Amino acid sequence: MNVWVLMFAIMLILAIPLGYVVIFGKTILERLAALDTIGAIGVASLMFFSAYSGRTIYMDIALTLALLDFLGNLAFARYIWGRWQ
Amino acid sequence: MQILSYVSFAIGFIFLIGSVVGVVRFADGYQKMQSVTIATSMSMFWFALGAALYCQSATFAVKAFLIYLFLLITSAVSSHMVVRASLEAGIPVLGKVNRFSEGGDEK
Repeated sequence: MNVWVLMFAIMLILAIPLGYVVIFGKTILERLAALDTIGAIGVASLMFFSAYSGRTIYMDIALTLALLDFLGNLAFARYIWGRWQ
Repeated sequence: MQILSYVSFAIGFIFLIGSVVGVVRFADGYQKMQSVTIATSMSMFWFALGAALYCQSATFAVKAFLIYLFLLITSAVSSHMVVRASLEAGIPVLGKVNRFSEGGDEK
């Protein structure tokens, strides 16, 4: 069995309980924490795929995904700030 | 050198599994936000180090550590902003009176 297949399988298995927390969380903060962890897992998966395929262009996609995760968190913070006041 | 990269991948997976268990099992949203930063600071360092050791090219290593530095800065900033916004918005802290929503001396 290839090592990279095992690593991607562990990534997918770790994303399942986080998806459960995103769907069934009580407050918006728990859901947002789980979504942030899913974003980190996606960045790590793109880094693994870049190391597996030997092309460095996927590292740029990982950097863009990290940037979009940061902007999404900022948008959610703005939404929470204006929502319950 | 591949053995070294696999060892650092394993250390990163240990930190990532701890972070996921913390996010699922902690009782409050604020405690869960504390557990997110393990995934984006500790485990991403070991993943970037392992990927750079596996490929052994300079551009790959530079891009990996650029991603790690970017995640290290933006994770702290975004989690601080989200937690501060939810404290201001009045999402209750577990077992404590929310001092931000009661008009204390913080404003």
